[in-house]
Amino acid sequence: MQQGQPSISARQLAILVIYFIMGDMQLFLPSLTAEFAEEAAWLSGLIGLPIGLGMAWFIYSLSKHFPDMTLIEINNQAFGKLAGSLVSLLFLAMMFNTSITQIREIGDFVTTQILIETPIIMICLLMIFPLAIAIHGGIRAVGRAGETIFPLFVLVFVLLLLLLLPSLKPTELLPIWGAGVSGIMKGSLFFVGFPFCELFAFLMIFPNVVQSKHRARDYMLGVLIGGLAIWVMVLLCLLVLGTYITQHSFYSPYIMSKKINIGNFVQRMEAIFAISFIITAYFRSLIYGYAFVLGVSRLFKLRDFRILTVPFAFMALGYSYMVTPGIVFLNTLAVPWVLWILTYSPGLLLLGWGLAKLRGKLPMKETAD
Amino acid sequence: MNASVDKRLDRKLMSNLSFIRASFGNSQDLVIKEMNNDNGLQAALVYMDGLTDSTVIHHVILDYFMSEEQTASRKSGNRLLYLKNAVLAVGETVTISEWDPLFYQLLSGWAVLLLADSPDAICVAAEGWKDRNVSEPTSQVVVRGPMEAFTENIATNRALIRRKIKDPQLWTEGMEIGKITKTSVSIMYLRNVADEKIVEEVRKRLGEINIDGILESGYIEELIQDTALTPFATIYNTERPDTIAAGLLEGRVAILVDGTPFVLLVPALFIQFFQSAEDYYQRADISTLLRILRFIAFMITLLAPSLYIAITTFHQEMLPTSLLINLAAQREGVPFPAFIEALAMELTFEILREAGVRMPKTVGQAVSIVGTLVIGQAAVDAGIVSAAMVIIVSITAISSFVIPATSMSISVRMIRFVLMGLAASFGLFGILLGYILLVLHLNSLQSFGIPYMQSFSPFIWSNQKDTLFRLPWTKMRTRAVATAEKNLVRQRPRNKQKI
Repeated sequence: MQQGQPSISARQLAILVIYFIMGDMQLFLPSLTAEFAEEAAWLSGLIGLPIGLGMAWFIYSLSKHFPDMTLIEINNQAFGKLAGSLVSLLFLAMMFNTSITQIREIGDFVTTQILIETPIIMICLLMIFPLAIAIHGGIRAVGRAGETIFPLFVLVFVLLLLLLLPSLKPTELLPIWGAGVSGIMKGSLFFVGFPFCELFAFLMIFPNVVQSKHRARDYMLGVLIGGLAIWVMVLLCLLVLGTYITQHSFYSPYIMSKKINIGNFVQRMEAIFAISFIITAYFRSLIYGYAFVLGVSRLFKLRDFRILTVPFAFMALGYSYMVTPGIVFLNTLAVPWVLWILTYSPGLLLLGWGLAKLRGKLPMKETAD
Repeated sequence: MNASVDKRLDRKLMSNLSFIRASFGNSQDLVIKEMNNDNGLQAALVYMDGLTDSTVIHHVILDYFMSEEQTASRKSGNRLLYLKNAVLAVGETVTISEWDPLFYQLLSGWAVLLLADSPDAICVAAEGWKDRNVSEPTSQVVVRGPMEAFTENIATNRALIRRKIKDPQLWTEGMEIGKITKTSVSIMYLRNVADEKIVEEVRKRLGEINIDGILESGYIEELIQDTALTPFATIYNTERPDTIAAGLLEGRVAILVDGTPFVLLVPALFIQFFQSAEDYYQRADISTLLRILRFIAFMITLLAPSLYIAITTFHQEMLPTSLLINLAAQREGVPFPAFIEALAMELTFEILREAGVRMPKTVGQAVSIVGTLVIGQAAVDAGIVSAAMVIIVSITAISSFVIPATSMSISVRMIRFVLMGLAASFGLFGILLGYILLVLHLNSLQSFGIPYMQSFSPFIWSNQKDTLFRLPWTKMRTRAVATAEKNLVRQRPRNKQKI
């Protein structure tokens, strides 16, 4: 990318990574992993975390093999012009789909749990408004907004954890092995697939991150913190609610936050969790949405991606309404969805990397960092 | 009127004088004193009544007549030079031969001495008008710190700053803005600290102003700000010389405007509006706590009414049962939904506050009695609002006064109503949405090329010593990265002495 491009700092990148990994996962991951691993869902997390870190490192090193290239250019380089464009289209479809799914998840969550009589399209509209504004502002706006909101987010999240401490019941983790090794492995598939493999969206952002010696460290730190946060979420859900409720409710962390009760005075603090969830899901949607809009403008060689924000907002509104008939249907898609992700990342990414290597099109050997 | 329409002065004294008279339309405050003597030496002194110092005027006349013997013997050109250099030892004198600058000097309070047979006039600095004394600041009060404020006189204001920073590197540039008012405007900056790009940007934006009149620094502020589409001020204004001096030391640029005690400071950052001059005079721990307190007050002003609306309308379960029953009992007789109730009370309070600022001092007591009764006891007794709502409105109001900068507290007052509307429609979700939009907006703002939220985003670790916290002076060794570009070191590490 040329000089003078808007850029974000390594710190902002790390914060965005934390938001991205937590995203909607802090709401759905506990029930997904517990469904297969049962009492051992926290063990799936523990196994998934290092694999996820490795995955995140693979995606980062890919961007170092192709310096200053976004995913679109990487595809062109690896697969050739025509096939590369087709692969890029596949990636873009996924980015758009996942971005809007986040919005829809917020809409479903708000209309079923908080504002029951509000039409879902209104909630989606209200979320798409700041989404479009932030995308229009470019990566700099996204990075800065993330950095500014971060203190509030940390406060809310830590407060949630602290308030839950008195409600923990360690016996809920027994038996340790839960559903056995295969169950634990299946559970960790979700733990790796949704939060970490999807980090490929950052391939659209890496070229805009200021070069500094902290870049790799901050990125991996963000991945680690985000991963630990969702792992803690899984663990807490099991400890507070037990396996059965965690498995069988869509919004188990939300139900968990209802259990907060300190001295019969501080209670029913689920709004705290709702704030934390909406912030992270919004940023996940934002990062995907930005990656999509930038990707389309790169693919079709548009001079400025900003002309796409208004069409994107309208498409997002319509798509968020029709993407799923409801949260129940969405939840049945979890298994195919995670496999879908794995075909893209690492699947297609590895294929591209291998092809580039075979064809001798790797622009640069990996340098020591 | 037979004086030439030429821009230059005529040789004939009489035609010059009649041109001046005609130009001013025989204004009453234009004084033309013609002076003749037996030697045939003719002259006229022209000045504006009220703008000039009478002792200087008398001095000029006296000197002129005292020197008539010597001057009479000289030729006209030399005579003028002799008068200017040797006789009129009053202070600043300028020789002018064109009408426009002559009128400008005349209207700035200078006296103009016209001689017969001379195409030049001598202008003598004789400004002297009634000025307000340097008095205590009224809008930005401190308990400890300098008790002087700027006045309406730009020369006094410049002097007040110079008295604090005695360094030749404190540079001043002057200009006249306003086609009719010709208001003098100065920019001041520390040459070896301020960022030359920002100084150049200030010069450029001031130079682009093309308006008939500037009456207050608010004109300049609106004409040079980065964007008008924001409720937030991106230029800081203050009437305290010490705040300006501190800003100059941080590498900012001050813009002084004649005729107003409010001096502008650019670039302005969001956090600056929460910092008071006193923070640097009190002990560091006290100042830090006070700053955090102000930030909490800011949050209360922004969020208290909307949180109350959201919780009582949508999220009653968040309240402990006893408190909920208490609130419900209070609201039992109230005929309005919480939003209308809050809106009415907040509007009432805004009206009272505006009345308090505008009303003549003599009726103040009457209004405050009515205000207290309306907003307080009577409204609750009549069952129109609940007592809890009065508490919320009061704490909101008091908190808004904690913010040291008026421009920021006005912005917060405006945004509060938007958040109340969002809370009434979508509860906490609406407030969160409003918060995200607010953050996006704040991050899109710039002040003279510096991001408005700098120190927070982009986060600058070394600036945190003087952002929300205020570390002891011994720890503040460098200037804020935001504004100062060079000469970052403020103090050398002190020699550690064993005591």
